[in-house]
Amino acid sequence: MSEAEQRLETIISTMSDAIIIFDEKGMLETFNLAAERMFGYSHSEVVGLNVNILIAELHRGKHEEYLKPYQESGEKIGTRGELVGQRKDGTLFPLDLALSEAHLVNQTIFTGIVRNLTECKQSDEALQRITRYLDVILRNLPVGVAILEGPEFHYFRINQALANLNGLSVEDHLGRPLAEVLPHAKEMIIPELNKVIDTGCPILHREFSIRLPNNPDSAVNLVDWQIPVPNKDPKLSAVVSIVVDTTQLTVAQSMLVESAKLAAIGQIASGLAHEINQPLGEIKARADFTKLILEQELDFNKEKVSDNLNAITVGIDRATKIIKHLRIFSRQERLNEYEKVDINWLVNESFVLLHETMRLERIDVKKELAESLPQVFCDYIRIEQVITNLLSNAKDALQVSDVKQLVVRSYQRDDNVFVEVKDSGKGIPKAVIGKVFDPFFTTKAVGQGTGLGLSISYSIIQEHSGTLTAYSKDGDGTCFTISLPIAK
Amino acid sequence: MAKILVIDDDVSFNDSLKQYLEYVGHNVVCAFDGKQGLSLLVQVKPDLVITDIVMPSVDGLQFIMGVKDSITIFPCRIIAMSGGGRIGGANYLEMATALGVDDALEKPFGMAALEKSIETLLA
Repeated sequence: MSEAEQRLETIISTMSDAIIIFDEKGMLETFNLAAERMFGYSHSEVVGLNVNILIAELHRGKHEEYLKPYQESGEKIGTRGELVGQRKDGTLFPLDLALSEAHLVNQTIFTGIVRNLTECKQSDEALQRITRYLDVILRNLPVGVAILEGPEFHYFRINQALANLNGLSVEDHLGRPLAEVLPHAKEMIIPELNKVIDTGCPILHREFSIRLPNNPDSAVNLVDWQIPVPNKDPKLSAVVSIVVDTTQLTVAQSMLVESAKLAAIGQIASGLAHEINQPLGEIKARADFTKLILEQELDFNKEKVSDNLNAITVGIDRATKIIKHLRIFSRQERLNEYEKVDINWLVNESFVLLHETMRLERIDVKKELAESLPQVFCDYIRIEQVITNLLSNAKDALQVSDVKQLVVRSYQRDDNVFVEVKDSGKGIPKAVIGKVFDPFFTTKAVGQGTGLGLSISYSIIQEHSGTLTAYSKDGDGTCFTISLPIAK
Repeated sequence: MAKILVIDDDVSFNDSLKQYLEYVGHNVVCAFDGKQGLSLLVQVKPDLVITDIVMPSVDGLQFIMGVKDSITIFPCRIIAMSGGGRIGGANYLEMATALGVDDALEKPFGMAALEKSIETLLA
């Protein structure tokens, strides 16, 4: 063997790709180390055998066909092909065969470079699976998603939810620039998207209201996220748009607040019925009595009739006062009618609706109201809502308590006036006291509370630049404290 | 005419019943809670008691139970009345009926209904 031949053989045998060389009849002549590793045969085992043993039986015909054009046309440049290989142990694997033909002086040989495609196949398949899953996710997501590519923001993808929101079909979007698809929105959206691309800073959770062309009469509330996906090639820089329609949610939230108010009414309704029926009972008795006097006496006792009519008027006033207080549950809009009020008056007013219920439940109410407190500047109906809510919660906390004591205190400290509502209930565990102002958090039984009362109260007091705090010692009741700044 | 004990903590309502019933010829004694009602029951020995339910200290239900315990001594009739309050799911008037009152009137009620009830019970 010449030095050149030796060098060539060393190179072939050590190459990292599997190399096989066979003659025109398919007899293997060369089988390098990488081929040994790939097929599990040693060089000496296969030399002289047909190359077919390396190919899965099913594919053998294909392989021979594959060789044919080489043999017939004498083409020299290799062509690639995918086949299924078979190892010595019989296991199969996908392979890529790059075959080239060389005509020597007295024979033609074929050189094949074989690559194992297993990993490629796997990652290809994984990619296809991910794409398929992604399709399913996008299609079914109740949230609008679009991918906009390039400087003109062409729609690369858009899902059904966002297409619906735009009032168009998915096909109406694909491949077309944003400005063409949504001409009404281009002034508003495109500068924002440019900014997202230029700065690389996403827009996260932006709430806005917009009138869409398919429904110009009513605005929809949307929340959007615009996330840049940069690319070296600016033509391929993209923005992923995520849009959620929160219109229904906003409606549902305000309905929930309403239902929280209704639940509060339900809780004190029996007390209210009693409180109103009491004066109504008297009004009816006095009216019947008066009628009887007028029927029975020709020259009737004017004083008696007048007494009865007075009592009727007092009874009507009593019932009216209670009904008037129900407006704290019926006012939806925030009128922000701020005025200076005496907080003690407000505390007493807050008891109007609950007084009877507390009496029915035998709650011992103690009022320790400091005298001559400075006035506070507030929307008193809303502050009454808060105090009523605290009193109502205290009442609930005392329902199963042996000692039913409720203390309401008012006092001044520095520039603030404080109202404390303290019950002798079992208290709120330390672990959850921090959560009592969270929306939907409740310590009450299912169906007893919406978990919104305190969270609404908290925001009302905040709007008044005051504070609402909770203190509780396990087993020793709960104390809620409102502070409000003194009116200047 | 009958001797009637009216028990209601609402002074004004109590007075309106007293005045009416006296006007139509009854002899009326007033109590303002169940405790006072029980002691007047012993003293006055009324033919009929008209009692409210929701009252401080001894309430109407406790009063009714007390009367039923001593019914052999004072075989009086009882009319319960209430403005429809309830504790938990139970209606006061239903509870009073379960305790064995002779009639139950829901406030507001007319004087004709009251008179009819009195007439029936004392016939």
